[in-house]
Amino acid sequence: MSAVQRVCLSCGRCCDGSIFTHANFKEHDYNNSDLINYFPEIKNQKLLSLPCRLFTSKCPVYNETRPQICQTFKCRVLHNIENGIYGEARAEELVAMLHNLVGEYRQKFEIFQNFDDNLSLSENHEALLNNKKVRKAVHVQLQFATLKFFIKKHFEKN
Amino acid sequence: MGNSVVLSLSTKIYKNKNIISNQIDGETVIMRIEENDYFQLDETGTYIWNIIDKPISVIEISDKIIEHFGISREQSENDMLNFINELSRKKIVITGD
Repeated sequence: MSAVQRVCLSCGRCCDGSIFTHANFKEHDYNNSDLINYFPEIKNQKLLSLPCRLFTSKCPVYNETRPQICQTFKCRVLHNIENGIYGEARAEELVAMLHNLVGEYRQKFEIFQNFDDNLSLSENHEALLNNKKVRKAVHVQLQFATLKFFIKKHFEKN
Repeated sequence: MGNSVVLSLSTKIYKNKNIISNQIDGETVIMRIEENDYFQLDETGTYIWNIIDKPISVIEISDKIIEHFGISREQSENDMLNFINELSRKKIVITGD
């Protein structure tokens, strides 16, 4: 297994809804019968909602049939490993920081309401902001902003 | 101390207590609670942020930056005055003599 694959598998934040809310199915996916078994919505939807329902703490089908975008998408961290900008150790450090940021976010979030694991992190955040019983969850908002700045800087592609 | 934006090297600054912040990987995200907006500070901004809990003059901060980052006094003082002016204008820091 390559460094890119190891780091990708140790992260999983693209799949669990921490970074994205949806992924696009690609043309190739619509004719893939194995994939349609996992994601019957391919027949009538262009978007895969995240968190991915197959994902637990890791992608269980990483080396098997996955939507094309899951096979081809590389975040900036993976690009940087591939292009020799930094090594696996720095990538692991960034992934660990991301895990911590998400963990801290959830901790602060759950002071106010339960985190819905069927929704992405952004959708949960929006639900919190729309919760009229919550007056001003400033520390959750700051944590969300920190997470977004960190993702934008280190994980989103240029 | 007021919120003057006319700064000199002797001006003292400190953090506005209505600001909360978070640090990650050597950078800082700050939130203005009342305005509900956010700013990001780079490594130098974070260094300054970490030394302005109590009132400290611009020249004292500049001395620390010169020592820490090894840059020239002229560059440090110009950058500092611009940066602190911006923080002061946004009421992220309180300034006064």
